[in-house]
Amino acid sequence: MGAFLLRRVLVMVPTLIAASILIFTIIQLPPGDYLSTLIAEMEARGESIDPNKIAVLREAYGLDSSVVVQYLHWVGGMLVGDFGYSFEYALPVSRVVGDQLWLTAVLSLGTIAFIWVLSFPIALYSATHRHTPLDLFLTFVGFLGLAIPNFLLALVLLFLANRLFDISIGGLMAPEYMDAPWSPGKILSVFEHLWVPVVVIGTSGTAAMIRRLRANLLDELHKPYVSVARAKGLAPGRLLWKYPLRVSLIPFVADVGNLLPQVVSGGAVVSIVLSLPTTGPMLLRALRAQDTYLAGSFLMFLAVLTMVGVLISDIALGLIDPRIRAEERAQS
Amino acid sequence: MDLLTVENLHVGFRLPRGELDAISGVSFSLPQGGTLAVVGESGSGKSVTARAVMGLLPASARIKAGRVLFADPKAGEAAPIDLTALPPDGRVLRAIRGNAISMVFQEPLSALSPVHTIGDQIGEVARLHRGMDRAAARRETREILSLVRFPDPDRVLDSYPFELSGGMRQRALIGMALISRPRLLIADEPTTALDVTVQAEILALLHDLRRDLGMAILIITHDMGVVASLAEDVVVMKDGRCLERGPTRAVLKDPRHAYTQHLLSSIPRHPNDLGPNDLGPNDLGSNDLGPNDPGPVDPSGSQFRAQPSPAPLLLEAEGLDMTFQSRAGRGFFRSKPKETRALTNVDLTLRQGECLGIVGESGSGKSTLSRILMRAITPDRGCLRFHGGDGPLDLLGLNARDLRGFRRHIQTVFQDPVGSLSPRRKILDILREPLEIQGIGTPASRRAMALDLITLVGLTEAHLDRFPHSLSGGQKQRVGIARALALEPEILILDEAVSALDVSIQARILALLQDLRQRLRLSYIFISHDMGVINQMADRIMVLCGGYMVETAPREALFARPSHPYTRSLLAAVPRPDPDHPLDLEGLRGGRANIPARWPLPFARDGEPARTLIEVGPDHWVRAAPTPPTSRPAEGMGLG
Repeated sequence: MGAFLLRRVLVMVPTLIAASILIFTIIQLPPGDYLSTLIAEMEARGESIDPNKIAVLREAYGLDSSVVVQYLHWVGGMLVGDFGYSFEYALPVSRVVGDQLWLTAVLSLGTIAFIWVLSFPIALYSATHRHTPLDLFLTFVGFLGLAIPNFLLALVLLFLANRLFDISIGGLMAPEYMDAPWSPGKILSVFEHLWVPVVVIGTSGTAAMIRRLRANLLDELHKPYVSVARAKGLAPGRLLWKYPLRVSLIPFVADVGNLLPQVVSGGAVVSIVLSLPTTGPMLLRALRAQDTYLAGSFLMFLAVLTMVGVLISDIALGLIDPRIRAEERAQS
Repeated sequence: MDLLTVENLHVGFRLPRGELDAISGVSFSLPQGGTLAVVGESGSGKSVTARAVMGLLPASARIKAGRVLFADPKAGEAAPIDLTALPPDGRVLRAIRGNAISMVFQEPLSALSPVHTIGDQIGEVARLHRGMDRAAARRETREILSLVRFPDPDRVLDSYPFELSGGMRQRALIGMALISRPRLLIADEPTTALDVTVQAEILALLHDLRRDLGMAILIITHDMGVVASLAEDVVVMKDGRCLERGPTRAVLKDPRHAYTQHLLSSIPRHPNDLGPNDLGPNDLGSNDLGPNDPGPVDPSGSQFRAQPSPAPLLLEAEGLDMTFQSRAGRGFFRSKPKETRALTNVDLTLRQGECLGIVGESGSGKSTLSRILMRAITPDRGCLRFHGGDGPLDLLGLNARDLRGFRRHIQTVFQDPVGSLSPRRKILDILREPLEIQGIGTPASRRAMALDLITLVGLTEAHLDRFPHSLSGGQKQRVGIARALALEPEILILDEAVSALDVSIQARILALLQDLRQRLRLSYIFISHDMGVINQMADRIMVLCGGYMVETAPREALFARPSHPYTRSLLAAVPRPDPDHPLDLEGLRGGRANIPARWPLPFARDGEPARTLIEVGPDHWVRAAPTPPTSRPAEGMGLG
């Protein structure tokens, strides 16, 4: 296991380098840079800007040097914990992201928990009671959840909450805590507001998970080893728990790796609609404004998250499935 | 009171278009400690019967009438229980399942959970029914594993199913069924997926265990040979009905029902029924034959009398070597690839009009050989020549374009008639495709050719517009043959072409193949694991084991005087549908000769097969070292 972990972590290094090159290239692809975008915006508004100031800024930001130098500067900085400087916020990237990263993490984990807690029992019931009225109903609701776009669900929830209960459920905390330092009251407020985005973001994920888990389980329920276990005299509940459920988890666990970054980035549109102070909207804005270091560091964060997710799912797979452990042993 | 009595059982399946009767009125009974075989072809309802006894029918099935009475001797004088009256997953039935009645299933490859250890899965039964704790169950499991003759039970306890071979898994399943010391063991095709020598071992095991544990066995099978070797009584089923039942000897010797007669006559004759049934001391073993020995051998070199003008050579292979590398490890940290030798120095000749049979068990290299011959893979070493009208042609040196043109000379019929036909294309398109690829005929004339082909294999024009899924297994295999014949090949490779078919259909396909061979002057390479089928088809036979050609001889010579220990154990393991010649279940216990390490001198030395082939009869070659006249083997080469 140790050798396996070491090997996997080592493999991440070249992957991260490749990802950083790709990210930086894509951010630099649109013509111009942050300053030319800024000038264009100001001119569109009829303002003018002093060319000398531009030149000074360009030099200060390092935008006059070549792309390769800019890239090396950025990567070198990241290695020592300096994620660069956000042009737009005129602050270091780490300070810009700060709180929002934590809030994003809380929201993401909440959503994942929501998806799992809800989808497992439903999928179990659906698979073992196939074609019963309740299964058909749950399947129908699941398809609705899949079909309704997140942001639409968010808008509808906002509207209903406003109309019926006369409350604003936007944001992740009550307005008075917005810029206040962290306190028990603020944390409580976060939890009060959390459920709306969790439901909105989690609905389609839950629906998709139910479909997949149900399909996996149905495949497993008809395997001969289930008949063998029944022929042993095992009670149906224990049988289901011990055999098909565990095997049906394998493809699902293999997918955990994709779940992390998907939840983090997938929430962007909903966060904008619900005006949540999470990282999604910030990323979008940074990309549009060509705020190179903010966007780049952000995408690197997502890349690392993906790799960590895949690593976690590989370890979990090895725990569930002895065939994968054997393969690892054969490799090392 | 019999242990198990099935009375007038009716089972129906609910289907979208109404209820289908799977079992209509089956009755039989099985005494304490008896063995009863339920025999039939696919769709006869034999497995449904077994599942009905266990209460393991699928949700769509319903027992419409009848009773299954089980009289557990442990329950004393209590009245027998009607198993069909119990709720299928209820407490009472669950206490019987896996305890008083246990079951061994057909698919050893998928009947065990892939993610739990063998010890866990077997021990679970002991914990469930015998109230043992984990440690006691583990001890009991170890004991049962040695009872089913695992040489190293401790290692198997913590093994996962994927670490065991098919035969080992089947033994583990039998162990799982036996750990509760059941009164009745139901075995549903317990040996169907296994090699014949493994099958013989499992049958011997069941035979011994029945005697030692005093349990009754209900065995479900399609193989009359298994019936003859194991069962005291037999029930013949077809279409959910019981056609004939009685003592095995009476039914097999003097079948009353026309279907039973038909079934028995369809079985390819066992090779040893062919001539003098002599598996006795062998010429090579008793050392009065061999290159260095006088006797019938003519020491002048041309050892045996020349064949009467042999037919011209058609296909010739020399020194074929094939190694597969398993590529474990990917990306930056590739580990050393593991090498598996699939073929070692295999020679082969096929003469015009001949049928060459290739036999071997799984892992023998016969599939690799067939794939080389059809030029799907390229061997590491060796050469392969085709002797057509224009002189010898080196098949391994052909470029891609020439190879495509050459393919019309050798065509293949595969085992799986379902998987080898595209489900989305009509039969007509399937038959026309090879013609289109080779640019033969015009679109109009190709339909006429397809019609010729389909009538050649005994189907009609109406079949041309149908899709494969609407054909039966036998019809699909006929289409497979027609497609292979579309390009008028000289050589047909039949790779387990009849293995998936029921015996009565198999008999008809074999007759068709015989007929086509005569009419179209074809040469066959017939690959099979079934000695009976090989016996019926082949003129000359090659025996493969572990990638080595161990023996080759004309058919009569091979069956009358098998010389290699592996050939002998293979022949001894084939069960015959003849109660006068049951398998020698006691004699099989010595293990099988399927690896070189078990071959004595002169066939192997230190686990390495001999490097030479010696000629022991006309055109009869055996892999053995030339024996010096002084060293006589201690005893004759017995059965394995």
